[in-house]
Amino acid sequence: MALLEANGVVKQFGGLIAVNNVVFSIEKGMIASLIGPNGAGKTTFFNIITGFYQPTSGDIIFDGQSLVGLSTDRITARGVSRTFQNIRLFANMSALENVLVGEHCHLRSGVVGAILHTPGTMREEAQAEARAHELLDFVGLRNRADELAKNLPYGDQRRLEIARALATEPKLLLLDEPSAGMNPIETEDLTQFIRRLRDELDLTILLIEHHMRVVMNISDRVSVMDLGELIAEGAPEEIQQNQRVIEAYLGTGGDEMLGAE
Amino acid sequence: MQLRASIKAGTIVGATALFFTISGMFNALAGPHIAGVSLSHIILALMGLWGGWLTVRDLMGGEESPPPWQTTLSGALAGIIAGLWIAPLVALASAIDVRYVLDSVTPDTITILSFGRSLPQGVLLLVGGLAVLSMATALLYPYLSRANLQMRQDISTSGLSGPAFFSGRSVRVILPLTLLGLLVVLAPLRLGGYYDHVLGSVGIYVMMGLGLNVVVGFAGLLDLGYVAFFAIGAYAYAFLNSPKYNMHVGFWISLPIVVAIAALGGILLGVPVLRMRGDYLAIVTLGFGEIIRLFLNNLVKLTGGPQGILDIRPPSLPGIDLGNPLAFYYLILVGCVATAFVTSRLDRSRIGRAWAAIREDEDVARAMGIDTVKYKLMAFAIGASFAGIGGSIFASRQAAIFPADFTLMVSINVLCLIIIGGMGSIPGIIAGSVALIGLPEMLRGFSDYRLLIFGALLVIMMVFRPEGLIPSVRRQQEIHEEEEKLGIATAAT
Repeated sequence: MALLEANGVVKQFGGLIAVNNVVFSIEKGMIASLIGPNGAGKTTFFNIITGFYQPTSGDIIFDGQSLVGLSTDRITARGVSRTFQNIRLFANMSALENVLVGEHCHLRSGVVGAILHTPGTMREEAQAEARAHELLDFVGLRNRADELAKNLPYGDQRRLEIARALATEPKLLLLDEPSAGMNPIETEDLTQFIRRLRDELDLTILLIEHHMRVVMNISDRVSVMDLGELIAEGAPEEIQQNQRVIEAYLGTGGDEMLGAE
Repeated sequence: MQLRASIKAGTIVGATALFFTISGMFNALAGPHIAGVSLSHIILALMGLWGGWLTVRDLMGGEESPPPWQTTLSGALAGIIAGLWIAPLVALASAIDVRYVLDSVTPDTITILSFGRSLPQGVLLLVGGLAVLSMATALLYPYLSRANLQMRQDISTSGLSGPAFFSGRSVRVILPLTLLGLLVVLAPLRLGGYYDHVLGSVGIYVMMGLGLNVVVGFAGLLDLGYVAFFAIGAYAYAFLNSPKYNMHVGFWISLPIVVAIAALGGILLGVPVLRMRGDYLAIVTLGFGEIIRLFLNNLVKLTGGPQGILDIRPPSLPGIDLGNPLAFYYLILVGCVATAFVTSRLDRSRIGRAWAAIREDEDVARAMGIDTVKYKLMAFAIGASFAGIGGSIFASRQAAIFPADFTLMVSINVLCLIIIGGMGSIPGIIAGSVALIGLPEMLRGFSDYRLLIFGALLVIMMVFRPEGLIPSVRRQQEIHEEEEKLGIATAAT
């Protein structure tokens, strides 16, 4: 059964149709990529899935239930988490605190527990912290827990953002251009890391990506958007050959870019 | 280089002295004598010492300390420069009457500044005196700083061998805190009614500051209508405990009712502004504060209008009279401690993290599963509750309240004391209240110049210490890192 299904999703901003009648699905355990030229509507599509925007029409079914009309925090609690194209960490909070915020919806303690330090709250906080340290370990930030997020190097910020997204215990992880601004070595690390996420944490991953090396390396399936529409879908090799995709990217005669990478 | 340090220090001290002269502070301080010397002369002497200290600190900052004769000479020079800032005014004012322009520079001022001598002698004494004092600190500074260093080392080494309680951090933190605590509890017993009352006012503002800090400092929601909840609390208490409606519910039963009403007020304000941020939020909340005040002023039948509500009962405990300033001070102190405890616990909890996340980036906070609506309303409600308690105590202490007690200035003052003290920092807010509410009371002797001095202090403070008096660790990092970056950038160019 598909974990996520988009049925004829349309998003209109005034006269602009940013996402047009997209029909899309991801099976559980898949790594799927969404590619397309700038302005194709990829991030808008992410924003619709995560509830930042409500679709003008169409439906999104996640894990058997519709996400349309739910607020972002509810959707996160259902098991969809994301990272952002331009890193959006809580800059003035430590790495550990960033991850702890991610755990928010799995913690229960309220005002009374917080003020009185009831045993339940203390236990929960201790567990949450231990879990946050585990996650930081997992993404390779073991020794950076107390550093302010904004003081981390760029690559570590990307990792921290993923750790924070993982802290919400998602079933589906949406990564918006995770390799943006990375050099080839970092990109290679990231590719391995994304594969590990799927294999070790049993996640389903959808990524928006411009680095074709990453896309072609790890994707089980690639979907291509252009001008708000889904124009092609298939295995990486098929997409590399697809004439429409090549035209969307470079106009005619652009096979070199997709092929060479 | 040495010359520059002297000029800089001399200018700072001289300008300060000039400000004191023009604002009439030397006149105001001439009255009290300590050991036969008038307070204004003592302050003048301290300024001299300060000049030397500033100079040497500047000179020692470099990699190589200059030889002692050089620092001493620079200190003296700083004193002379400082003296030259006020000497011309003294000379001028003794020749002609300058009161048409500078109405506080009276013959008394001149007598003080020239030590009662005639013109050339007096001015020489002034400039020379500053020079000698400044030179003295410059000469002694190296010895003093060495002694200070030695003392610190002694404490930390002896701490290591001593029992754990007295080790390093404990001696430096716990001991002064205990002393401060004792002072706060015991000092009012000796201070007398007037100061107890002033300290009580400071305490009420501490409570409000801590409450508003939840909204502004923790959750990052700029609320300029905070006075509304203070007013709601005060009027709710007054309704329940005055002849107006012939109800005498009593302080302790009223308190939870007032808290509930204020919290509800917080939520009612919160709902319409949920989608607003920053400046827009500030304007709407500002309006809310004014609306409440106008209601109080104009719903004459309900609230008594501008005549206010009179004969509000003070709190009582079986067998104890709580109606005097000292008892109110202790009641407020308990309230402050409770507020500080609750807000600090909240800050360091899951709820505090959710607020911090909303403050940093609301959209992302939502994407991380935080119900921003709930937590924003919670911040408004909790913040409003503390203002409500403050309002109850205020009403019961004043025994009569009027809409005029609840102007925009209250909101501005509370916000200012948070900023002055250090946003997000609980000790900072206490320091801010003392500085902002207590200091103007202490400065009453300067009457007309009170607010001028106060304003000048605020400006100086924001220029030299933008993070606040006692900033939270995080905020200090934020501001100073930016400075460091700028520093690096300028160094590179």
